[in-house]
Amino acid sequence: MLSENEARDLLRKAGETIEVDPTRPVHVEAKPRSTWLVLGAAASVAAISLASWAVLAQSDSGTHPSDPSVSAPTNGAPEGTVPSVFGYDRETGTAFLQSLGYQVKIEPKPDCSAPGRAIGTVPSTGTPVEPGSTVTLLVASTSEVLDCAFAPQLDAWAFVDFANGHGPAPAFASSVTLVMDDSAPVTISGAEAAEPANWGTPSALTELHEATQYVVQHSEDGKTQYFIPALGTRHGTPPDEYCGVERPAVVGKRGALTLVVDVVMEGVINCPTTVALYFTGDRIDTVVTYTEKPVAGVIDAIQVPAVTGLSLEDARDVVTAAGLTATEEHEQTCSPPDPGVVEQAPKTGFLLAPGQTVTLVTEVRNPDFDCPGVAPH
Amino acid sequence: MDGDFSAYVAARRPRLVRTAVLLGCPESDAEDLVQTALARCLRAWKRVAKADNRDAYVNKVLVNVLHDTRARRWNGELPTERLPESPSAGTDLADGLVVRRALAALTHEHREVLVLRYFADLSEKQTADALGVPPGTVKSRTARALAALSAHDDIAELAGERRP
Repeated sequence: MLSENEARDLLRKAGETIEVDPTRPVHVEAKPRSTWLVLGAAASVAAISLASWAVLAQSDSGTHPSDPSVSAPTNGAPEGTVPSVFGYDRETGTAFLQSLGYQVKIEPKPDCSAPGRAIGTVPSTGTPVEPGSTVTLLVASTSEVLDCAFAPQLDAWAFVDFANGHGPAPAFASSVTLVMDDSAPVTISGAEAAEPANWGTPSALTELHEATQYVVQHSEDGKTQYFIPALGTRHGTPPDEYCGVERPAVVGKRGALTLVVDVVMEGVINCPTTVALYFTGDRIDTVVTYTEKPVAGVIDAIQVPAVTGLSLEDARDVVTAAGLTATEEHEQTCSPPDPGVVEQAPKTGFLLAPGQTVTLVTEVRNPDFDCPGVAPH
Repeated sequence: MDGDFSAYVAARRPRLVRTAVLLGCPESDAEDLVQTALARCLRAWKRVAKADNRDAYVNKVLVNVLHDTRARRWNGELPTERLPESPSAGTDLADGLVVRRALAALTHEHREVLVLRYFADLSEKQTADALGVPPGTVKSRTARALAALSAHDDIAELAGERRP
């Protein structure tokens, strides 16, 4: 068992792996006052320019599991259920839902997504609904209440909209270089780039379009949830190698606006569809696509099963049958102990190598445990 | 007050960014997260400056911002942390990455209590306040979190290598 000092030392080392630029200008604005407070060396708000990229860890990940509790991504939610509205905005989302026969109600919701983007539905994705039912489209709106320090992702969404046929072509340079994974670069004119058909197949546009439609079903304890993608953006120079693909020589060490469309699930590591956009001024001159691919490395990774709520004995059996090792912990409680496993670590869905450990936590009531008026948790 | 706040930010920002990452925020989002937390603290700086421990207050706000950010994602989770490729084994950097992988395997509750107690150096009471749980919960949760981290194969190997 680690001592407290050992834990401190380990966490100190973990902290040292994180690069922080001490000279990066920081802008902190206290809202709702309009006063600008500027710190550090910069005298104006600097665009967020992230110096670090992180490359996917290769050593302990696996392919998308075939375990029944998590499905491989499908193109959309099941028929007869509320679809994903990822990739749509207020207008296109409304038209999409109406085309499926639903009545649509719009509800603005304070959110840090780009204003006007569709951020969800009520009922949520995957909920069975009858034709003609009303589906509420939640649309991002700005708010004085939220502290949205995140830069708007307008450029990123504009490109995704173009890929999905929802929006016009972005501004392209007079010639545009296209790279797919480690294939040879292809150059087309800016006018040709404005027409999706000229990008060929596969392309950044077809890959983004496919990723936009992913829906992953996750079942646990009799409940099923549907996970839809998220759009992430990164700024700065992409790494020398990303998911097994080297950064093309044609871009050198230029910084890019990189889009990542990924269905995010805790414990599941993958190489999602990633597109790096390079600009000259405000015009795209190079597009580098890293297609989605299974993660290299351990191909027999095991997904941690769901055992919370089972008896300790059953939980141990399930973990062992999955090829993992069960260990037990006891949590002191100030209430009558809950029968069975109250917590597990790692959580369901996390990928482990064969033989690695899943901790099963049960409650015990120790009369000597100090419970001086502390509410049970 | 502005000068005092500026000085605090200049001194503490790198550590806050590292705390955010160790709590589970992706490195590329950590600066934004800390910026948001500091903006909230600025509004209440008079109160913060008078607090017994300003770091405790600021870390509490950081945890709240992290939780709010999780809630704003499409499915409640931040993108899975991408860790750098491993450098040569046996170096402190390699050990540090091993620890980060082990932290990623813990539950949020375990991860938060370990990072706040042993990286941000908050007391049990300050950690309880930051997490909005009773001090007794922090005590028991810390013990379980330490055990969970100890049981991780790679951590056990690291600890074994360092003990006489």
